[in-house]
Amino acid sequence: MRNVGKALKLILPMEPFRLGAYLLLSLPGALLPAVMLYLQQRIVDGAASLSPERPLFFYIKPVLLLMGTYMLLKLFRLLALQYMEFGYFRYILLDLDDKIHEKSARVPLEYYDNAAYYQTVQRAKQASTFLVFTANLAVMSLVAAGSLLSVGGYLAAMHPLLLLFVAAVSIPVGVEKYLGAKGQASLAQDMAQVVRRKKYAFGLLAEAGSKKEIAHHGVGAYVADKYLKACEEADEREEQYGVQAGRRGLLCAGVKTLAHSLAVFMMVWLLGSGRITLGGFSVLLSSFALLSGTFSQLFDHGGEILKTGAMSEAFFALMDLEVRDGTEDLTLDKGREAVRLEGVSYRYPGSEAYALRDISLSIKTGEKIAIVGENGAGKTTLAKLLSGFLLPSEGRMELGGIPREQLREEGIFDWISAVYQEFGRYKLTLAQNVILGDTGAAEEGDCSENPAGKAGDRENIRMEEGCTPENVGAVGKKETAPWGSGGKRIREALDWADLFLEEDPEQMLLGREFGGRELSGGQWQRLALARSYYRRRPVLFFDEPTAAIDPLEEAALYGKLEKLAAGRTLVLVTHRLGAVRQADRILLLEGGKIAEAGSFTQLMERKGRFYRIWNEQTKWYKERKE
Amino acid sequence: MGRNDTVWKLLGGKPWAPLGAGCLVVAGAACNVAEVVVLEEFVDGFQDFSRLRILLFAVLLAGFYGFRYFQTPLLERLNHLVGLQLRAALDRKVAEKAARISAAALEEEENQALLGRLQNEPERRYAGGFFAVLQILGGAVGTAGVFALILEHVPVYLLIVVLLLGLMAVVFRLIGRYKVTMYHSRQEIARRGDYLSGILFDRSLAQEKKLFGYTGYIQKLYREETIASGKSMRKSILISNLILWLYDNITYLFSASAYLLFLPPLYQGEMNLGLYIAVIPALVRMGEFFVAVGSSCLPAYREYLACLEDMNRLNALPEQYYVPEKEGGKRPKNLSDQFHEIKGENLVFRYPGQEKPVIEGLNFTFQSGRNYALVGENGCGKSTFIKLLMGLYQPEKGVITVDGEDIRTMEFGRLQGLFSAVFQDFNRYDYTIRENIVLSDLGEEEEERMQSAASEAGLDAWIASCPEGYDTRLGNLEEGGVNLSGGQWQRLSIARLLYRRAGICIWDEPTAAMDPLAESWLYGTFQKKKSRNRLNLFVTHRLGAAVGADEICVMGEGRFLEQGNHEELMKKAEGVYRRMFEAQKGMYQ
Repeated sequence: MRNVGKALKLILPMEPFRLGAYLLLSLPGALLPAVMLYLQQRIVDGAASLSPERPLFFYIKPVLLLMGTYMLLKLFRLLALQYMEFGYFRYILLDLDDKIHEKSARVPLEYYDNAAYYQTVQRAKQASTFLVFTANLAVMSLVAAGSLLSVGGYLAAMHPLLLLFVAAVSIPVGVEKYLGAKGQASLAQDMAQVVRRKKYAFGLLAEAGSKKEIAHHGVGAYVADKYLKACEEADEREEQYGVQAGRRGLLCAGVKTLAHSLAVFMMVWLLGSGRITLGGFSVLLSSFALLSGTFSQLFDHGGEILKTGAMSEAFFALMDLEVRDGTEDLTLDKGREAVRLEGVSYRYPGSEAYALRDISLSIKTGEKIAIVGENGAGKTTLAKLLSGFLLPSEGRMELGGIPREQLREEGIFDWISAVYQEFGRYKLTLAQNVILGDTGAAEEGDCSENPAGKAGDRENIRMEEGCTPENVGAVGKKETAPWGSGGKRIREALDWADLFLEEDPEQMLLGREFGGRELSGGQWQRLALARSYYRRRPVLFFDEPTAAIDPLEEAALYGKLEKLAAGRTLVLVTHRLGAVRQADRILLLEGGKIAEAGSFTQLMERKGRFYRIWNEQTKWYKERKE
Repeated sequence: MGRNDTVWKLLGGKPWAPLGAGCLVVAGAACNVAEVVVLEEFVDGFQDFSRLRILLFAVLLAGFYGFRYFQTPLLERLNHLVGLQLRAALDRKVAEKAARISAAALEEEENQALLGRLQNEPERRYAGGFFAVLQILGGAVGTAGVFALILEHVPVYLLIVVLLLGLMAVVFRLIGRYKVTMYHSRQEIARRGDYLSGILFDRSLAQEKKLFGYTGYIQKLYREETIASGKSMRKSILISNLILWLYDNITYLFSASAYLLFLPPLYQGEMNLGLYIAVIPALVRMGEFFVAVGSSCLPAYREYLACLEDMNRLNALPEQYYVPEKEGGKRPKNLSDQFHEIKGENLVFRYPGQEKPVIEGLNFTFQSGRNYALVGENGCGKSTFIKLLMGLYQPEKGVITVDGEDIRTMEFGRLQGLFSAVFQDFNRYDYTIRENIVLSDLGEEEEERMQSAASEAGLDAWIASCPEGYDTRLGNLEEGGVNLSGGQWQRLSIARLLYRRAGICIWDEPTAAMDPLAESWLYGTFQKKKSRNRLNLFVTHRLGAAVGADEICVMGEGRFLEQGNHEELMKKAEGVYRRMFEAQKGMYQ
């Protein structure tokens, strides 16, 4: 119940004018049924007292009116429906989606590794539909209540005892609905896990990617079996539910029959004793269906409201999710310390083991750091920590001299551009794929002329620290490109990444799913590089940036990345030891600790662990003796 | 291709619930007619009736209501049973077929969509078809009864009914035309919106999303897309709603026109008041029935037919499957032991709907006892070649033979028995560790073989640390499943590869990088795996891995550009391999 209030409080003020319009269109639905009853009574009473003195038309007139009223009622209902779908709720849903999206942008990265968070999000998304249902049901209940009032009022005017009739007709409907609603709520939640299992197994069978291995190993039947087991489990639960529902239904039918018998006796008695006319009797006959229908609607709506209210809980659960975030903005000055870690340890939520242990580290702006190590050594975790995605579990961390926990997350990200191993293959246009790197710049138009303010400062850091013309590209030059100034920068980024596709980037949809063009793995990778190039920021994070690129080009690409990094701060995570030689400092991680640190030459001279791994990797490239 | 999986056939096995539902519906219709007769008699004579007779009438009337009230829950229960019965049957049919469809057929988008639709509660559409028929049956019985009562007095009403029905049929055709196209475009539009919104929840994109801060931008695209699609649909939906409205009004005329038509006979005393009053509610019900026929029964039946059509299309999809012996299949004669040579000539292959062949004029000969490395740029067709080699995809032209036997004529299971492969996008089963390993060779599990595969893949220590050892659940399908890193999944896939006994081992390197030690270990494992009666094929774009191979095949332009061992290939001054190798080596110098 509390949820319903919350839901309505959230939604009703969202689009007040559209709500008003929707209510206006729905109003006739509340009034016209009573008018129709009145006309029916007139028709029947007329027929019962036909007199040849009056012309036939006298009797026909109410019939015509009745027809007209019906048409009008239906027309309004249609318009209300249409308006609800396209004029009102579509906008509400979008507003709700916005809220969910924004929230999901703010939750810490750690949540994304947590299955429970996904469930919350999934439920919240469903819940937003339920919120809309709740609001709609509220409006529909209003209409139903209105029509009950008008019909009930009309009957009461006919004979006061008929209020009892109304009660007898309606009360059992209430009982029925109440019992029904109680049973249903739990089913949907009960089934969620089974449905997930079903979907998963079916996906293995039905997707081309997983299917080939299934076919090769001959395990189609095995997986199908798992699917069917989940199906059976689901069916069993539904069956139980069906039995319960059936029992409830029979009970309700009994109650309803008793109460309605009472109503029937009353109405026969009223007619027999001359207290109502035949017209009135005919109206009562019709109002059985009308009243129980409307009541049942009203209760349905009520029950649904409770249900959708409960379902919309998930929306608020997501919204109420606590997100810690600082308030201060990050500023980095050149030549000063950018990052300082003191005894920092980190473990993922819910995990016993530390992913990082006792890391102390200081990085100046402009420094180039490479992080190497085995899988699971904590490389990516360290990079995530440094780039502000994670907060240390223990120890002190400062960015730009300010304690990490006081900093606003977005304020940190605003300084960074990155390429991740898991880069996106967005099924958008080619240009949009690039723009995603820096959507703010795309809105401002061309930023290459160093707009005033923070963005400008950030550019300046890089400029002052001596970047070469190659990597600066068109910065500073202002040209009118054939398809807009924003477009020029996009094309520049694409050119830089050597992604030459003949079509207009703004027209070229990528991804086969929506009928666009599919790129090869290497082309997607280069697109990811173009995206990070487009995002001009003084700090760069590369986490396995060339994992999907060809050996022939990999070397060339590292060359490019090196140039891009000139004058900027760089953190590079990689397995390719060949790529770390240029770094100012290499951090070798082992078991979450920094095992060795130093420049390439230092580490090679030390003949320690780094030296051993280097040899392991290069031995395949040495000329063979035989 | 007949209509095999009709709703009648699926329900035929256990006909009690559907038959029961049918009887209830017909009884309900009969009850409606009886009510008219009783009511007519009452209205005409109640002023002269004794109290007892009036009471009797009231009891009868209440009885009619009671019958309807009990009918509803009974019918609901039967409906539910029918739905479950259909669901069980369809789930089984769809799953069994899905298990057999060839991987190549799934490459086609259309087939993907087909499976998507058939997983999405097809039983609802089937049940819809069944109840549409039931409803029409009940309505027809009721209508016939009411007509019999009326036509005695007002034969002209029949004419009106025929006229109205004709009009309805015309309008109905209009509705049908609109509905079908709208349904499809709605689905399509929703898919695009879902994709855009999905970006913002994708785990693998979370880092990019947060860092780049593109939430607002995607949201804007999402909003535009949704609003634009709404606008494009709005008009056609309004039109179709107006047509429905028209239809609704026509059906209303069934009962309303009775008020008009019956007035003159009543006026002239040719008809009695009782019928006039009693029949109107029945006619209203009849009108509702006609509305339901048009607005819900026929569309539901049409959806059922569409779903049936989908089932037929599903059944027609090409199959490619086998069942391992111990899972109940018969063991194919094992090729692996005597296998000597696999050979392909002039292969050509292109993906459905693409113009340019991925493989064009490719020739190869691989021999047992040798290690092969397949190298080449991304997208040059290495992975596709593997699928052809294994007979998962059929070449457009050319023949592949195993010791002279055309693989097209070989039983699929027998052919697969020759191979053990890890694909580039290997599967990550959210099941137990054990299943992740032994799925490659199902049967009576050989504990020892599984453990040695796991230990060869370097998983010993990790498995020992897992809460339930080999029975630990992985992934996040189940609560409490253990999450793995990419590298661990990779090792699991290698354990799976090793567990399967086969004459040809294929390892298609994933695009995601492994760490240097793991990679180095893997190259070594492969070289060690070399044996007299085994062929190893290593697909990679890391040339370091290729150096030790007996033969390196350099792929490009859809065929093998160069072949030979490392030394031979390095001798070609302008060779592709040499250039690639130098470039990669350069990174280590």
